[in-house]
Amino acid sequence: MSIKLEHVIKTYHSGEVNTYALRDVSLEIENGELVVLLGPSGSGKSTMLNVCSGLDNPSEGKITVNGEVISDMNQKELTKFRRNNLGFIFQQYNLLQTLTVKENVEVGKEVSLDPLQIEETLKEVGLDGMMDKYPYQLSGGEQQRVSIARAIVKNPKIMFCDEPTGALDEETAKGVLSVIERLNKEHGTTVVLITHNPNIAMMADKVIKLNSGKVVDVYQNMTKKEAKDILWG
Amino acid sequence: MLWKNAFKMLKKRMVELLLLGIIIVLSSYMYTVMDYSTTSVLIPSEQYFIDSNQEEFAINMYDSLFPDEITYITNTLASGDISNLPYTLSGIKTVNSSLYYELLSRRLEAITSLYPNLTLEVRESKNVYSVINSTDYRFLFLKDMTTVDLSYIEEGSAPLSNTEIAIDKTFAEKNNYQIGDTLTINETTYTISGFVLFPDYTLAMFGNELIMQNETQTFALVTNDQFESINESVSFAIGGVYQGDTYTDKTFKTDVIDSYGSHDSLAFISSIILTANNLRSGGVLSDIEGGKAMGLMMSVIIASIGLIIVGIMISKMISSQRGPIGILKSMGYKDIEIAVPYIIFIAILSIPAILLGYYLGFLSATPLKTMLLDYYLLPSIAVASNTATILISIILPFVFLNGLSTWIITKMLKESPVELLNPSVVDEPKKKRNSYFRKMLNRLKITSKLQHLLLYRSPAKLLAYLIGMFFAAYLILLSFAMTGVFDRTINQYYDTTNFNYIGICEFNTTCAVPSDAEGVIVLTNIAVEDYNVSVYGISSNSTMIPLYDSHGNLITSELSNGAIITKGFALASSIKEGDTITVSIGTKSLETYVEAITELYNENAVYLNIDDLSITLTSTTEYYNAVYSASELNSSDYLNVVSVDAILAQTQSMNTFMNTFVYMMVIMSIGVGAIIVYILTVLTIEDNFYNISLFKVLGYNELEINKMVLGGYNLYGLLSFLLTIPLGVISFDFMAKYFATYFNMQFPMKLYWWEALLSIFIYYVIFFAGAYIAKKNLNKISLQEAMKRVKI
Repeated sequence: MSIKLEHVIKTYHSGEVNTYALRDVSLEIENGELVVLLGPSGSGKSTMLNVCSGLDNPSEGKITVNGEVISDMNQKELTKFRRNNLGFIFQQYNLLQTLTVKENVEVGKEVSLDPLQIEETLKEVGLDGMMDKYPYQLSGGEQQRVSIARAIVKNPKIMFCDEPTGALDEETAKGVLSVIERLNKEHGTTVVLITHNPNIAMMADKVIKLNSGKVVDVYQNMTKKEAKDILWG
Repeated sequence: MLWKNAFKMLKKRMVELLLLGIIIVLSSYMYTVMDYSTTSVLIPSEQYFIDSNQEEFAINMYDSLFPDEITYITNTLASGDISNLPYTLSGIKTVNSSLYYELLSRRLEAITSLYPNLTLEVRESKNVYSVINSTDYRFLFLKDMTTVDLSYIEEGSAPLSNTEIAIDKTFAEKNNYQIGDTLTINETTYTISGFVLFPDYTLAMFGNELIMQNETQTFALVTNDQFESINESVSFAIGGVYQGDTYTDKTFKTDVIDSYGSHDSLAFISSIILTANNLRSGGVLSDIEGGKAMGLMMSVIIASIGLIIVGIMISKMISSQRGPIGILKSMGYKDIEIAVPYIIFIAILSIPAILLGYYLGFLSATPLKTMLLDYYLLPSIAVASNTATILISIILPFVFLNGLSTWIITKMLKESPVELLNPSVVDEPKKKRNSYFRKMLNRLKITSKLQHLLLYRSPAKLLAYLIGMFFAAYLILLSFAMTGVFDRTINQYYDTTNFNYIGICEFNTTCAVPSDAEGVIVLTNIAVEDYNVSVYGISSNSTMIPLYDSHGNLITSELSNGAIITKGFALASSIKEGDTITVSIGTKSLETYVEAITELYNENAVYLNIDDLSITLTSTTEYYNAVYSASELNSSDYLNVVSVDAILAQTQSMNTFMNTFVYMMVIMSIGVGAIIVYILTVLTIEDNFYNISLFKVLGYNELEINKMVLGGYNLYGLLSFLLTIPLGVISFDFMAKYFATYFNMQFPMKLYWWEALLSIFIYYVIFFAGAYIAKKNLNKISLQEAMKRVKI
């Protein structure tokens, strides 16, 4: 599933002040690519993720995902679009504390038209022995894996990852990135990953650099590395 | 800065705080209005009862003569022929007044010989119906007593001449009568000399019917001579007091009430009732005190719901401030410095609500007192504030609300800055409690499971919700159950019967029976299985008084096989179909089976086949003493003619009162229920802010999110409501039986299946009205920002 942005502008209004989070951005993400959006804090990475994924609407411009113009959709249509096509992994896991690991993943499965099996998904992220545990009983990395499993079980066409390793130590982070990598390689899922860590960009097919709301560079990664081989720090 | 921060936080919740304020106002109001209105009646009443030597018990007697009395009459009368004498005391009075008083005196002596240390006196009364200016009125003439139950002149003076009358003040006010005005009752014109009260008639209920308003009925005091001249049959009862400290109510009950039945010489007594249990005289005090207690109970229930909600809200508000409070503590601010702004602001918010509730209650107390005096024939004083009420309706709720807030705030502040700054985790003990429930929920889909689990996270909220829904549900069901009470007790009887006039025959005279009328035997104050009932002899194919069972089937023909009793009597006595009953009329008795129960609550009554009853009384089948007619009767042919319209006119204002009361209760229930639902659903949506945002991101639509987050409230609220229905029905049946058994009062509350369905519909109105606005907040929760925040 491909993503195309054409002259996308996103402006936030606060009284008389206008903040341009995205300034005339045009780019394309091909089907099956693992793309990293790289940039410092405030560069517009999250905003771009939000508009690409339908979590927010652009102020101007056109966004097409797999032939559907999502920038013209209303909230109901966007909800349906996210339901049928997208998965999300966030920095803060966002697990439901009252549910077990299995049930948290089930929350993702329930909303999907063509879900994967919960047990298989948990096995894929290495948590098949922890189905009945609660989030408070898991480490940060394990919780993030549950979050990934919840996203994967939906069998999404595109996975958006917003700083998925931001709260993790190196070893755990690499484990998580390996899972994301496998998702891209084995399932052919298009992955858009936000990070401020340039080392993580080494695992991407394409890197899009952002600064002050503008795309300053887009390049193919000729020296792509596996997640486990990324240098940290 | 601290004050500003606390103010801004509270300002965000202004809507919920205002609604909570309504609950606090209601709680304070309920107690204040009930307390002040009832106290302004209770205080002067207590003195009034002492001054007028109110009876401490009432002894009701059968009107029929007993064997020893027949013997006495035979021995007393020179002619010795008593066959033509009436067999009732009231009948004896019409032919031989002095014999009547002798018989009464003998009865009093029979009682005091077994139970000395009692002062007894007979209260005689006569019921008179009259049309004045096209309106039907009822006058209960009470003959003045000299020792017990003394009349009390509120204003003016007692009647001195036969053309003077004293009546009830509220009746006079409602009919624009003043002292000195004239009042014509059935062609006799009186001058109103004053306003009177009688301590044995403190409830404007002059019969067993639930007609207790004094707009179209009053008691009346005339001279003794004038009383005797009134052409109506007399009723009588004994009022008594204990001499000195010989008895208390408790010992009187065990020594007298529980034992009189074993004495044959007291067989003429149908019942002895302590004043405290007697609705027309003393039950009123416990009735008013009961109203006061009910006001307190409702106030406490509403307050407790409010308290729980306050606790939840404050806990949430402060929880949302954990981070800032942690920072303040780490900077060196003392706990008290951080806590004071929150405590003061909450106090500032609660004080006006409590004071407003008190003020409104105080203002409403006088109109409520006036309304009470529509039904309670008692003296009153002006409503005045008192310390105890101020304490309970102002100080106490203030202390509770603010004490609870302070406790929650200080408890939170005890945590260290580190704990406050770090995200909290769900503790294990809570998990173990949840695990019990999840075993029950295992088979459900995740979206259904979440409905329950998200609720169980906050037992306090769930408890407040269930209590609130139960409270609202019970009030609504009670309202419905009460709506048909007057129809069932009064109107139903007259709706199902076909007579419009009752002609009472002169004693021992065969009175005319027009073509559209029937002769009926009517006997009052007859003993049936130790109960004082009315006995009717009617034809088994009577068209004037057809009898129906609870399914609407005509059962009058069953009289050919036995007796039919009213449902009211069945409730009071627990007599069932198939039971054998003995009807004792003087020296005669009739034993029969209860063939059926007719769905009437207007009085305790037994219906018998007129031929059987006639034979029992006179050995012929020709006897009757009343005529029930569809068309108007010529009053010169009868001792007295009573119009059904006269009776029904009095029920109209009771119906209006009851309907108004019911509507108010339903509206209040809906209001309280909706407020509770709104506040709790708003809090729940906030509690699940991040979860809701997550669900939106994952692609759940609004309907699904609404179902998961709020669906549990709908489900448990409905379950609570449905559970209230059988509990309500059981309590209504119990109340009906209780009133019938202990107060001889028919109060048949009934809940029909369609009313139960309607109440469930009202529940949904409450739920959706309350949750509708809260649900709009779901739309305001953005997706992307919530996902970035750390969940606490």
